[in-house]
Amino acid sequence: MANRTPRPRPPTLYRAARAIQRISAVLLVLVLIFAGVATYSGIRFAQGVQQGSSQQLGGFTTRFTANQTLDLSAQYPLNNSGVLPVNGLSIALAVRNPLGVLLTRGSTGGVQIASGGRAAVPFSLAISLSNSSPAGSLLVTDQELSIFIWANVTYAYLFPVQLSFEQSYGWGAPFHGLSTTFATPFVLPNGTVGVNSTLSFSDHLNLTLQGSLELRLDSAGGSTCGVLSYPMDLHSGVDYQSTQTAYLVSGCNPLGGTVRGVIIGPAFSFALPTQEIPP
Amino acid sequence: MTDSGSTPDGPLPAQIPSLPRRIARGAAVAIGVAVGSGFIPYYLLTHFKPASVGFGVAATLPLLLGIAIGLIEGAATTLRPTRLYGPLSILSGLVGIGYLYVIFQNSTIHVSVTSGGLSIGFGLLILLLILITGLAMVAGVVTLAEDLAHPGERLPFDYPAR
Repeated sequence: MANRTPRPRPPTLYRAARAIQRISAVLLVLVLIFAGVATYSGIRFAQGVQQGSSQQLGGFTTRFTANQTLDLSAQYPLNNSGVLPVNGLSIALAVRNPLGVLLTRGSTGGVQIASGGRAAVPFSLAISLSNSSPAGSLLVTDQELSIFIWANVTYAYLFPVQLSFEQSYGWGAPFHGLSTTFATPFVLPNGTVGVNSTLSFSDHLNLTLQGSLELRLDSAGGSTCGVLSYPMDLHSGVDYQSTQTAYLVSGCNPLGGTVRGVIIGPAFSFALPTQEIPP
Repeated sequence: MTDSGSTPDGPLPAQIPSLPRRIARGAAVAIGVAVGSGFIPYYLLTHFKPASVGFGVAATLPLLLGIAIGLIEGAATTLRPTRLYGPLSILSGLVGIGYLYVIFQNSTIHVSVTSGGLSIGFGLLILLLILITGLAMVAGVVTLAEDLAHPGERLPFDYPAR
């Protein structure tokens, strides 16, 4: 075995230069590996977000509340099939009607999903049903709503990701096709004028309607000619039709006027869109 | 063209490869770096463009800068036994930082997905790469300082005799 002379220690500058080179090379490899893993993981996660929404978003539960609003709540399913956890995910939704008018928006934040985990993010959207609200037609007209969804997250500490997409949602109105028709008025022996009024609509909302629907017949001048009350205990998908008699105030002519409806439930009360009475 | 090595205790033998071998090695490095930092980004940018992937930089820019970095790295590898190695390493680092800075300014990718879009920002990653490239450039500065202070001192360690 040959004797080997120990090599002298390299000079300081040489060692410093090589140490810096090695550190930068190791860091480069680590960063590239991490970036590759994060990219792959992020793509899997983004696919899961979109897949989950297209499968299940739209399973809203609806509820009328006391302050003339319709509450829509849903569980937004998220599946993180990536290899990195998701921290601080925030999701925002905006609902627009077919004319593009914003009806409501909502958001949720701070969602944590472990790698390979699933989460159901709860959402609650409140839609105002007041007379001035553009959402009033939701009560009486089925329509195709657009739901815009944004998801924001800083993924793997390095990558801010924003996913946005639009999804259509078929809205079923609770009073779809609301119509009030009037038969020929008749006169009672005491001189009171009566008129039979038939109310019809279809309940297309996934909601049981209980309470009563009050209709007020107003003349063209704005004075109230008569009042009708229709009791309700309806279930989703049921066609409603009922005839009631309105006894008109003496001298008041509702022809050319309006029908104003108010639905009164156990814990809510709100106005329906006004209907015109033909002259 | 090459410097001779020496130590305070006496000359330490250095076995510097012949110029053709160094040119071959430099060419391999140049091709590897040009492919990694030029052609692969160029391919990805042109390949994904039809798939509605938006990136704010023309695909030819990373290609040209990647080739430039490859050529400088190749030259540095070939000329490693000389005093030009330090300046070429610094130049390579500077061009690399410029390359990364161009990407940093456009460090958000927009991808069109069904009925929407996906935006991914990778600015922090590019900043990390800039820091790492800066670190490599510092190594070039230290090597240059060593070459100026003690010419040829590193050669027996870079090219130890067997």
